[in-house]
Amino acid sequence: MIQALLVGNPNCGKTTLFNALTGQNQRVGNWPGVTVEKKTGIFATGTQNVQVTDLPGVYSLSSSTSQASLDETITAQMVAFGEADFIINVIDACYLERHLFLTSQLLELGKPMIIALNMMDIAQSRGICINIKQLSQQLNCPVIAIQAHRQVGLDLLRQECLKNTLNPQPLTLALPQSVQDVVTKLTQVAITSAFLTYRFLEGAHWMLDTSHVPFVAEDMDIILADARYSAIHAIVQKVQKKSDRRQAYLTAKLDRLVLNRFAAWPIFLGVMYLMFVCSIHVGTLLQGYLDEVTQLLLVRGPAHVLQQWHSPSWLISMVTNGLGKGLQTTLTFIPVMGLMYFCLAFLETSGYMVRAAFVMDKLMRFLGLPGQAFVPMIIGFGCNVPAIMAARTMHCERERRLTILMSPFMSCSARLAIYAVFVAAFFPNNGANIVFSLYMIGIVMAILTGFLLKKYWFKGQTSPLILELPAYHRPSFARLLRESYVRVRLFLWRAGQLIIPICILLAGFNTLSWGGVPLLSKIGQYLTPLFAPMGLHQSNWPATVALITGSLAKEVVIGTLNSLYSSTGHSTIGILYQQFDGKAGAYAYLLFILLYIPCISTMAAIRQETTRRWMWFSIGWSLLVAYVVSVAFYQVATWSRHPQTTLAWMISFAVCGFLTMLILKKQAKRETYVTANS
Amino acid sequence: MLLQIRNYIKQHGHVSTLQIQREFHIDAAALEPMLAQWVQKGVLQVHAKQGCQKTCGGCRSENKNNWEQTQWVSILP
Repeated sequence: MIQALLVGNPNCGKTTLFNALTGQNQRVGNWPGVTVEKKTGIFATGTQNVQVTDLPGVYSLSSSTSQASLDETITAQMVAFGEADFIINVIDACYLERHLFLTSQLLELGKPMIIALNMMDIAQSRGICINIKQLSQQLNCPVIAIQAHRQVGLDLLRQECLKNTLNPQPLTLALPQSVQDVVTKLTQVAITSAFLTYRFLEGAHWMLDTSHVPFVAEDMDIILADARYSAIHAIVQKVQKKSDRRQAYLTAKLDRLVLNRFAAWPIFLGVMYLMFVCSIHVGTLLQGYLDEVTQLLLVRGPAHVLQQWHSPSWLISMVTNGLGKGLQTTLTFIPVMGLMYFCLAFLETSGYMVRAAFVMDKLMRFLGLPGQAFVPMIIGFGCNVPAIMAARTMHCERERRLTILMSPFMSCSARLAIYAVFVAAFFPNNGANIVFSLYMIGIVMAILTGFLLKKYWFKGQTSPLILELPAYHRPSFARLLRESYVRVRLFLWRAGQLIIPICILLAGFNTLSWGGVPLLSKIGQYLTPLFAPMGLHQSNWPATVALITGSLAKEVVIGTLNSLYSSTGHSTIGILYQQFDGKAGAYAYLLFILLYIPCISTMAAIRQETTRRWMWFSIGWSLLVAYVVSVAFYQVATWSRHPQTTLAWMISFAVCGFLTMLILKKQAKRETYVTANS
Repeated sequence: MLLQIRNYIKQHGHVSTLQIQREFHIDAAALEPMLAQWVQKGVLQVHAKQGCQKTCGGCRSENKNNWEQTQWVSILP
């Protein structure tokens, strides 16, 4: 009777095939000396009967006895030393590359072999297409496609067993000459076959009598495995096609460029810049039209009607300057916000946003900061509150707090609304550059804050950036529109809830007087001298009031300015140009807006995620940074008007900065001492 | 192949198995024994599977499946 062995990886369908071939003609026993089940059976191939033994599944024939299970040892022994006329190697078509490792080892045996490529139906449903003929040519071995569970292809398999003519050749492994010499020498010295020599070198030392075996280098198994995997991979690339392979190729190709050491940074900066060009240039264009229309419908129109009805001035003020202006402000945010959210959604869904975190990771780690912090910070481009919540994904508490305290400096969408108005007034030609510079300054300040905190408070090892890079996707336009719409609607709803009541309140306050002067004007003028060094003149007290209301929510700043400037009868943009000290004054104001407290919600989130102390630290630190940066910029930009004053300010900042560092260092040391001794 | 993968991981520090699969055009099942060989040699270490790191619920269903399978590999110091 012809003897055959059924060999394959675990779960490839060997036993299913065995049962399908042998039916009731099975005998179950144990392998000698062990409790592992041995199954043998007989199947007919027309003229002859074949006795087939179902061997336990193995991934490789080269496991050492110390690591191999009993099953693996039995299979390796039977294959190497058992009597068999041919081998039926069962392969799961869904895992071709993995299963071919065992196949390549079996081919070295030199015995006739048939490959049964099983589960072809499942492979097809997964989009895997295998060229059977080409695979057979590559392996120099017959390959029969079967579906053992449906008993498809079994007749062809039985017929192939009859033929049994091909002598398989082992795969050609690209081994260095030195390794080939070792194989040849070992084969001669141990007086054995190439099959056993390879198994020995791969780690199955029990296969050879090692008493006469010369010393073999330790990494021989790696060299052999490397050559084997490479040969198999080359075969699979030729014979197998997968439906999702194209996307993976494209992603890998793009990542080589996007994450390239030299190209990554220019690409990152270029992408960010494009985002601002799109949002600001196109957005402000549309904003201008919307501003005119809403001004007419919500402010001038109702004012005219109420005047015709001889309404009291306080009512006209509340309805037009309060409610009308509030609504107008809210609605004019739509173009810039909408485009910004559209761009952010595109970057997120396409898969680039995560790559940006990788680009920043190198810089962050150079400064000793966690690269993972940049992911929540990117979320801060939309809103700082979810950015602070996103820090929950970080496992290290120290790094989580660091990220939370860095996040408020990321310029959120509410701030963008303010930039858009100022850019239209002062920087009509290069608005995108101005906004881009503000975002970059925000990032720099965030990183600087993180660096200082890491140096003095949050000392320790930085965790590596562990972040999955999803495949690139081409986002659908409809989906991007939908996501932008949802975010804009949420923004407008939230902004409207704040802007409208505050504008009404401000309009109401503005009608109250103290000593013949409007109350709000009095408060504003009282506080404005504090901001004189950064370019705010006494007459521009509405800008001071806007900073105060802006600490509640940034969306309110423009609404406040609108409401308070409107009493002059000019448009907001016209008034801005008159009230601020040119481009220098405007940019200094924008720097303050960028860097000081984002909003009360952000502070509440910091309080919730850390402690009250760190919340107050964040408030104090952001006010300090905002003031220093704005004043420094304005003084330097206008130094020719007052060089001595500018010099005095710079020196005082340098001295204060030095003293602040000393205090921080001392405080941090004291806390470490107290913690160590408690 | 085996050496190329080791060099790739060495170059990038921490990589996910999904990244390696994409870079070398191989399946997770084919990659697993290669990584296991290096782990056995004490050259690589495999980290716990990471969950989704976005809090906004932005994961799509195909990415959710990838998260379940993905592991992270790095060179042992």
